[in-house]
Amino acid sequence: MITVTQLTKTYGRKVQALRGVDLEIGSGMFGLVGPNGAGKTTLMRILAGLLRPTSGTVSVLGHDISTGKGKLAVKSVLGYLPQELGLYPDLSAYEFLEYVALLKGINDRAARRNQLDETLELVGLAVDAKRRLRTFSGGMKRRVGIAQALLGDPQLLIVDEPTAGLDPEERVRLRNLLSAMAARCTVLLSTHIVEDISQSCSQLAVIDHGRVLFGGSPSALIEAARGRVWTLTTAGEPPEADLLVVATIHLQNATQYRVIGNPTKGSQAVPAEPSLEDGYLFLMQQAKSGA
Amino acid sequence: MLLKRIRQVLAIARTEFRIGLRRGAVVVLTAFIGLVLGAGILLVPVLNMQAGSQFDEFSAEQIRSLDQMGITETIFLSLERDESADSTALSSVQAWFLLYLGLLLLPPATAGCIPADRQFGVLELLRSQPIDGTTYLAGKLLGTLGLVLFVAIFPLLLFFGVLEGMLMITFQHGLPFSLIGFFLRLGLLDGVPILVSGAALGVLVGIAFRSRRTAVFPGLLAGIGALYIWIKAFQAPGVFANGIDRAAAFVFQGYRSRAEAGWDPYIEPGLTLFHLELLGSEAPHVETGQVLLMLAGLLTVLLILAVCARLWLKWKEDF
Repeated sequence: MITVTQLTKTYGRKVQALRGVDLEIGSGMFGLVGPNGAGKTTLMRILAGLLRPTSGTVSVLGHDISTGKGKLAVKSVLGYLPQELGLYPDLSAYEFLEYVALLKGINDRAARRNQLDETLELVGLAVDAKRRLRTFSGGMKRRVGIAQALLGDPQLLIVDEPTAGLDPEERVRLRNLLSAMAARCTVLLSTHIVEDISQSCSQLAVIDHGRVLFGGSPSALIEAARGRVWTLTTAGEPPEADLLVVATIHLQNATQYRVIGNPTKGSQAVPAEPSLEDGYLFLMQQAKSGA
Repeated sequence: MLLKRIRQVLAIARTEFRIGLRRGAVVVLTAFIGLVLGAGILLVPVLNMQAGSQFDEFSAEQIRSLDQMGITETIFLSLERDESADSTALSSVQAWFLLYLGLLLLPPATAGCIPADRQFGVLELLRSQPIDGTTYLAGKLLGTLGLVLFVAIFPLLLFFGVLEGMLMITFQHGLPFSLIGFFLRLGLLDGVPILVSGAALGVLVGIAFRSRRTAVFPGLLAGIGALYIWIKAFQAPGVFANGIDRAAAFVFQGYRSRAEAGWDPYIEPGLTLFHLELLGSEAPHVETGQVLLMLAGLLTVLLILAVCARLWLKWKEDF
């Protein structure tokens, strides 16, 4: 569905945001995870046809996005939620969504109205639809962003950091919504919150410094960390310096650490069941150490 | 495909119109320009009308001799109304330069139209829609121009309303249609081009800036430049006060006096020419071709600017 081959993007002369990215993204929900500044947004923007790559090829739903025609074809089946969502503060949610619906070519008045009502209901904004966007909270604005991306039954949904700034309840609601969408279209979810991926994506890629470090299923990433995750309880002294501490719990007379790495043989470390976050952190640690 | 694009242009225009109406800057400035111009034109005629009808000052003997000529009070008042109409048309020659405020003030007001999309981050979202830069630009221009022209209707209606009221109160006769036609011709041939140029110039110049605030000063500079070029390029031949352009001069020269035509049968039939020279009889005549050339030149300049703005969008935003 989406094929990315040797994709590079350089800003100016020095900043290399993407360095030879190769990716195959099929249907369903695909997660793109990586630290801030890893190149996720750059990749998303290229896939959405908003940014020209420096080199490499990108085919989205069979369209070459390096051509104007291909870009337009992708945009006509695309739902996109940018990281920095912008809305007109002087419009109501309904007016804004109607505007987007018209741009997407939903011209039949009755069909448009139906779709707007359904989408507003879906994101829980039906009651506030007539209110000006300037009065909306950050979470509500995010939901308007999601709603506009869902309009027009997109075949490809690109959502960049959709859960940023949302409270836990809204995050769960959004994840469920995206999972439901993934049943009928490709959803590409970019985030630096691993939990979002673990709860919803069947495939993921880990990206850092413009390179893909991992591509595969969440379980494969978890498996990569098996045997490297430990629980270590000490009287208070910190774990060895080369272990990555991912969690610390202060008990009454001891401190319990969750660590990633290879503890020395004589230590009290007990193997622990790895999570997706452990897998991700293990991968990042490996990348940093150049292994 | 074309129909789809037209619908997208209209959707962008409608939204721009709606937002512009709510933000208020363009509305306030356009209304301000209209009110200033209207007040400028009406000042002298209204002051004259406040003195009331001359008929009230006539003695019984004078009224009798008028009556013998066939000039009843109704006819006299109607002719006085027509003289006031002439006086209003004459006054518009003096005040018409005030419309140049549109060239000066509208560019800074409309320059923020596209930068606002960048400022609020909406441009990113719009760029992800199945529209291209030409559609976007056309929609923005159409919406802004529509808003300016829509708002301009209200001061015009107010102008006609005040004039109608004054004429009715003073002479018991309303606005002659010829005067309405005169101002509509003036508005369509010169008012609309000036307002459209000012508004479009702002939108096109503002395209290069990142926020509404940063676009205001360049917009003002563009307005000053536009005003200078307009007067230099389009000034009617001959020496006219206030730099009246060819289109306005054309309409002024075509003014037909109702008062002269009205008085003619009673005073000395055939003497008057039914023609009041608003610009003076010495003024070189402005031909239709000169007006068309002016409008074509204006359209060409705006088209060139629009093409430059489109290329800028392509270059800077890949849109």
